[in-house]
Amino acid sequence: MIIFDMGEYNLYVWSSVFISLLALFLAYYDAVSKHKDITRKIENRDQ
Amino acid sequence: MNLKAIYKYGSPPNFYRFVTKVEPWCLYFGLLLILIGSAGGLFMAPEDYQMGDAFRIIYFHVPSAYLSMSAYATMGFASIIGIVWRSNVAFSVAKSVAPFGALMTATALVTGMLWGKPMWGTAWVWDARLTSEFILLLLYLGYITLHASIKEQKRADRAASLVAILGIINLPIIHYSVVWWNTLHQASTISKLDSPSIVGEMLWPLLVMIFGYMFFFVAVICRASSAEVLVREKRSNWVKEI
Amino acid sequence: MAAYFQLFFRETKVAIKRWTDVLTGIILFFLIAILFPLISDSNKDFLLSIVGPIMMFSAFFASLLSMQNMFKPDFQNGTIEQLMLSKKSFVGLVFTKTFSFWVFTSLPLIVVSGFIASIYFVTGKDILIVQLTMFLSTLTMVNINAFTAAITLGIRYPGALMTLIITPITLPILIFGSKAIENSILGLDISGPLYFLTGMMMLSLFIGPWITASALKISMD
Repeated sequence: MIIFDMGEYNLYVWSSVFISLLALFLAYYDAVSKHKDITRKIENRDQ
Repeated sequence: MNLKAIYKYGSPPNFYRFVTKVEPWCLYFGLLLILIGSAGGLFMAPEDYQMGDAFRIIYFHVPSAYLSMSAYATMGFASIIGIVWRSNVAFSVAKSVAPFGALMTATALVTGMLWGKPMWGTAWVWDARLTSEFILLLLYLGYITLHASIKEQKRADRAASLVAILGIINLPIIHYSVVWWNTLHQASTISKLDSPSIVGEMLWPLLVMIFGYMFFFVAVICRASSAEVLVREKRSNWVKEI
Repeated sequence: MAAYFQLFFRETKVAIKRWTDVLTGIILFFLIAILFPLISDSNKDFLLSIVGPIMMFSAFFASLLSMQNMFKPDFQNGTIEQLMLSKKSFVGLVFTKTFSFWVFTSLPLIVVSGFIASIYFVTGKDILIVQLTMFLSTLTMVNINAFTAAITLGIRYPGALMTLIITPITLPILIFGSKAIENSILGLDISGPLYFLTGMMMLSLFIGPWITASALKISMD
């Protein structure tokens, strides 16, 4: 666990990591859900 | 340079097929690079003699900021192509980049604040670089809002493109602001011409992270712009075959 | 050439007829600027330190409110379509329109700003610098406002959207404008900010009408 400890900057570093990864995830999730919506709509309309 | 190839990918069905094929490669490769870079930066790189462990935020702050600017450049370039060649594909790309770019800009600002607070005692200061990055966020939000407010598709595309193109002038201001003015933000560590002012073991995770973010960006844009192209072309024949 | 003068005279008549709209901007500017000395402890140092930002902010805010009337009435009664169809250069006509808007809303503002600056204990040569800064920045801002008004022309309730688009572009002007006024009061070198403001003004005078014309064309169809 020692390497996970960032000393007095623990809060700042890990919250930065969390926020950055969250942003990346949100971006991809948004793109994927848009894609799913439109493909589902097209399939529903075609059948 | 084979111009014919570019025109070929400008057509929606070819663009869709190309982008759908490319996306998984970029996604997995990008995620892999981000994983390696994070591990290297957070755990393997040695502690900075001045800043302690807090400097590790650089491995997330710099790629986000770098991407926020490249994304805007992509958006501006795609907008120019869309207006000049009236290309639906180009406008789709521009529209998809905007939310990603806004998220990256917000991340860069927030991680910068989290870095600034323990380091220099202040979360925010209105110096040139921070202010122009904030301006970048407003430009993204303006683009997204404008696009959403205009009901008609073509008009929305072209109006929002004008805003995107107008904002391109902000990019050199952000990039060179640390050179032109004395700001609180530190100067560039990586430059194209000089050797970097940062030691090797700290440098490689940073480069890996930047490349990882870039591939991830390409993957997200592939997915989002393919969705956007489908939305615009949903009545045409090639869509029925997918 | 005569067509442009004709347009200018037409704008004059319109401005006189709708003098309440014109006056709104000026009164707003006056009110905001006057309010600060009245509601704060009006000692000289404090007022001298805030006169730069206050001047720029009041001008910006007043222009925000008056810009909604720049193209909307003409859009609704079909004037803009007529201008687009005429043989004269549309960009030139847009320039005339923007310039006449500036003459009626911002020129009085520049005159009033001198008076307001004296309330803020600004003296002598600094008052001229304040007016010069107002001149340069309002000329730039009116072009940016024209573009924003043109691009949001079919949208209902465009207020917040306009602010969102305008702020990133206008922010450097506000920053350098208040820096020019502050430097002048402190006796420091004012040439830097003034050069920047002049550069931005030149740029906006050339690009502004062209990009406003494009925005109008986009909003028209």
